[in-house]
Amino acid sequence: MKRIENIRIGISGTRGIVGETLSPELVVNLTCAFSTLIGGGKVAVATDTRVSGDVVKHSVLSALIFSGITPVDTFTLPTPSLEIYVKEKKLNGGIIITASHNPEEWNGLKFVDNRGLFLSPFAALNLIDIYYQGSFKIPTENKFPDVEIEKEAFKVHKEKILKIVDVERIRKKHFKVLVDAGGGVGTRFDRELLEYLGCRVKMVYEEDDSNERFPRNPEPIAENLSKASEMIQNGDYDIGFAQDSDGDRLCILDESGRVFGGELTLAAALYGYLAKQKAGKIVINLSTSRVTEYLAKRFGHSVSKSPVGEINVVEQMIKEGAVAGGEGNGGVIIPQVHHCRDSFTGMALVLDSMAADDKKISQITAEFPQFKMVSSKIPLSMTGAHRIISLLKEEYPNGNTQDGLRVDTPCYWFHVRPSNTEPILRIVAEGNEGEIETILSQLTDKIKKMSR
Amino acid sequence: MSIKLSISGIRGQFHELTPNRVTQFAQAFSTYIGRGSVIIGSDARPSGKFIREALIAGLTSSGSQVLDYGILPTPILQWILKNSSYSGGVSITAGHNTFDWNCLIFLSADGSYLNHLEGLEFFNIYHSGNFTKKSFDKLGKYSMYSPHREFIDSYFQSLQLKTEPRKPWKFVLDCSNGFGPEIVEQLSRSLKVKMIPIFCGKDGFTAKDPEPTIRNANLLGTIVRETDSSGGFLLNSDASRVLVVDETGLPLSEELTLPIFSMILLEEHKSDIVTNYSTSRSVDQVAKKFGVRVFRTDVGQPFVVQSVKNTKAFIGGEGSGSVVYSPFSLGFDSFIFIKKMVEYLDKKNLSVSDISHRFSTPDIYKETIHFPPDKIYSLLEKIGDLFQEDKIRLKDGFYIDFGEEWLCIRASATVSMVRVIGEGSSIAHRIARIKEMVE
Repeated sequence: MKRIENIRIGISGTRGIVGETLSPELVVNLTCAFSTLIGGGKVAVATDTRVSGDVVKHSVLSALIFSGITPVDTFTLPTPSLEIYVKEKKLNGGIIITASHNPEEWNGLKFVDNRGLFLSPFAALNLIDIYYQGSFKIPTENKFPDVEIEKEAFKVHKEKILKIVDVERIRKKHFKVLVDAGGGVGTRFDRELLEYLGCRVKMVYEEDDSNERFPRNPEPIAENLSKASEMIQNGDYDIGFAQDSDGDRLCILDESGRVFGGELTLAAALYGYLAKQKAGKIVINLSTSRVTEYLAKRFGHSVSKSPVGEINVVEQMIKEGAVAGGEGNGGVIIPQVHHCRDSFTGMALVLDSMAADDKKISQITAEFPQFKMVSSKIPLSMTGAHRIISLLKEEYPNGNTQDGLRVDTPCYWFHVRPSNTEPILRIVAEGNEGEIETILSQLTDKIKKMSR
Repeated sequence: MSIKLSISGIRGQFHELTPNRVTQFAQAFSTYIGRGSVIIGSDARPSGKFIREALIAGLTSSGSQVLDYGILPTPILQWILKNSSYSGGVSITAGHNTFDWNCLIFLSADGSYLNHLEGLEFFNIYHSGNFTKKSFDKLGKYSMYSPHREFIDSYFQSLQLKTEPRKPWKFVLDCSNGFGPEIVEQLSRSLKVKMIPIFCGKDGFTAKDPEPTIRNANLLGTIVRETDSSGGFLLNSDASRVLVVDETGLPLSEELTLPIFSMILLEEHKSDIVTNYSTSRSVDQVAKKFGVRVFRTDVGQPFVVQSVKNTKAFIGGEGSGSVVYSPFSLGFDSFIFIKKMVEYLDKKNLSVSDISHRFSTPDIYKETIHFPPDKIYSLLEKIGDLFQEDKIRLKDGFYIDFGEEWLCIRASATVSMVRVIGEGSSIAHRIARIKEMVE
């Protein structure tokens, strides 16, 4: 059976390929289902910088107006900014038109509730239910709302960030910053924040209307950031930042052009913030590096772990009243700003730490413990994956079973879980370099044998 | 589902023209016209708000460039199409239908409605569901026209009177809530006469029937009298139909709009006249006086305008109060009527009633009979059989010629009704006979 890989209707939103699976009809029906779910009021709508954004937006606007909901069009806006805007303006929800880090032929919808958070897993299931039942709220009155226009929504976000850092201290440093927004929303908003913080900003890819294509794959990982790294090596910068297309994920490059990756980025962004917070709780997901855990404990915080997925981390943070949290894909979450992954907050926090300690970013992270993180994946059906997890759970009765199986030992840990989106089993492990590779390959082989 | 598909438009009540249906028609239209730009406009109906967004989504997703003229009467869109190189247009308006209806009107590159054959091709694409779908890098672009409205300005420039009027004219314009006052201001500047707009708020959504009929012209008549105006014009919501009110506030039958227009134009130059079978024979009297022919067609703008094109006639229109002047545009256009009328009044130093007195009030009956929706056409057939006289079969009914009198029976384009229109002293009696039969 051929699996349809280019459409994903899931609890974290819907993604598809424009002109193929992400049809106007799908967008209209999902938006009608969302309108039925939230019942009425106002919904903010934003796009990232994808060329297909406006086409998708017209379908979203049509469905909202048809459902009697007033759309507030915020135009191109980072995902965290939209979430914050919904919460601060007390709107009834939000829709973000983005496919996050997926390639540019993709687009999709992310739904935000009246807390400014992604739909909780239950609400998301409810939405999918309404969508499949197809019984949407339809207008009974011949009265339809107008679209409201909001072009200053980012300011709300910026103001919140400026409250958690020492703006004057950062300004005095006149940091030289290279930013690789990858043609995403950062191209429109990074300067506004960073220049306010006194930085001299150079963009790897300047906003250029004649070229609307993404200049690189939108995922901010090392293999997509070679140009940024080269520019730092050949230039004079204090730090480099890279983002995905909707501005929730961050990746740091140090002054030598070294790409940190999401795990070290999270630790570096949280470092200074955790240092100055009163002892509290932080939440990371079960696949996140111990580096962040180590830093949190060093500053007296306790650490709890949630299933993988932003909304899972966020829900657990809210439940436990966490001061900070995040995911190892460069997703920094600071509740004082908002309960969402936020690359803009991440950038401000790193600059704040550099200014506070008067250190280079590489000097700050040099003090962090060094672990090696490795991963593998095994193609397996959903049922096959769950069978393996059950067998493994018997073998490791003390493991954490919130999301697959996570096993911790003093020297290393590993996490085995079925992917939410693809028919694969993911294995992540972290420990000392030279040892963890063997542990991973033995574990992978073992699981492969079990799955035969 | 109760949407009505015809080349006169895709018509439905506000909750029936759903975003998905509108998107599909837009994709079908984009597929039909192929490459190029589409201009869109609408009247001020509330449902136009979501219909417009779905229309844009459908057109751009199939690769059409979209230029949005906002709220703009259909005749102006049609004029722009004729005078530009856009590939087609879509107007969101249900014209004379009440405000709980709306409609998508698809326009050709020359500004006319799709004709019968074009319509068949378009509907075939729609029914096949086989629409052009563009990938992310080949999608159409959307833009609002409002920052640069040259075409709208040129339209009103083309209506401009060459000379200053000899006396200060003042008219009341009832816009049936279809569009905003800036259109009336531009018209007023072009014609160099004072215009008092009523029912002209863009958001105006009062319970007002936008069909230009004598019954709906009472308020306009009163205002004409109260403001001591030279006359008034009652438009439908997209300004494709017009009815005249004289300086005493008395409304003239909408059936006289075409005869008056014909008379004015025929004094300038000769042309045959095209109208439908369901229109008063008053126009034949005008034609006879000037020695020109009258061609009759099926009912609806697409049929009349197609015949105007085929016969090379300059003048066309329908008894519902619409006129087309083909050297100017290929759409039913109230503004060109108003221009010609004002120009004529001033040139000849006449009052509106001086003109209306030249015409006898048409002895015309218009009635509707409710039919069960699933039996409309079979019942129509039976009614046709009732009459042994000369009959002409129309696309949607019959025209029956009784010699001095005539009767036209047609299925309505909106609800499950049959429209019966006839002219002559014994027509009321004949209509009563039909009603009996249906019951």
